Amino acid sequence: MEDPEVDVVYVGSIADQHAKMTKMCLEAGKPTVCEKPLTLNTKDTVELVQFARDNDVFLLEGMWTRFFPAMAKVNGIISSGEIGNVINVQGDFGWYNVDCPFPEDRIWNPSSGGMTYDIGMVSPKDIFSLISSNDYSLSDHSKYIAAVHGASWTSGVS
Amino acid sequence: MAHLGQVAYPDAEVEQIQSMGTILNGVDQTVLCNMMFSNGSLSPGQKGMLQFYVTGSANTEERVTIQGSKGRIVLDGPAHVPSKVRVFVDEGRGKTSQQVHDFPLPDDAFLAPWNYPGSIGFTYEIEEVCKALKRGDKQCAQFTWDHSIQLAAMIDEIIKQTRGNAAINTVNGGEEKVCA
Repeated sequence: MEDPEVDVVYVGSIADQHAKMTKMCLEAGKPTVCEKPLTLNTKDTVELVQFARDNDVFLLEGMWTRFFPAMAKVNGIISSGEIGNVINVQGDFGWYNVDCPFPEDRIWNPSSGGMTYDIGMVSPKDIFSLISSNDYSLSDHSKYIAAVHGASWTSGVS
Repeated sequence: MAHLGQVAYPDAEVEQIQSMGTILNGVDQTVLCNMMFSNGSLSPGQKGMLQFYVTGSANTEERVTIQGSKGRIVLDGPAHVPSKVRVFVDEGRGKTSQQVHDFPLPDDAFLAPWNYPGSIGFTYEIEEVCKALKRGDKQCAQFTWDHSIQLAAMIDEIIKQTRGNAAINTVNGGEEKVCA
């Protein structure tokens, strides 16, 4: 947190730690991207946003789907009126989780598990593959992943 | 899935949410949700609807359809990492013209295999964050603080309706149960 070489922090812990870890990063003045869901309720989300606003720190909930060029195209089509007024949106999203070991898998975490938090918003997860790829440069001005911290909800180990 | 309402109805408010679901191992497993949005500036006089389900009991097609009064947009699965936008413009009942817009994801052959499809798409978000930081911005326009707060309110209501308070600590030993 105190390392001036760290440009931005990505919080990719399980969801029940998001609010706490994101607050720590913002308190240290670090621009922070947090895996969705940013918190587990509206009250905590409002508080984090207010903290970022008051302290003038970058904060983003990692809704990565919205950053895809295809979604920019969708926005453009909708605002152009090409398909008229939008009447309805339909979608589905499922991944087979029944094999995930109970109770230790994060998907069964009583406070932050379940499919609504997991993908009711959209979908998380593979950022860890980027993290584990040591030679992946984030961008021209960023360096590399500096550290990975994780926490297990069953063991309490961070 | 809930965030799609913000895509379809950019400045609208959520007016109603109906949600029901099943519980597995104490948490929500299959959740079906209907939402109604207020008139947005893009659709004056027109309420907007959103229907979706999420599940942990199957790998689903994961297609998104955005239906407008003059046509529809289809995002083929897996729609959370979209690379193809199909636009069908209405030409009468059962008749449409189709346009396809391809947005191939970056080449990721040099990376180790991913756990999930389309994960190289994280680079889009990473690049936009880098640009925002260079500009000194505190938010990204693609997903603002207001978006986060609106989405949190949607999720609060879905969780409340789907799980109910009593279900939170229930362990069903692997049997999926209907949540009243």
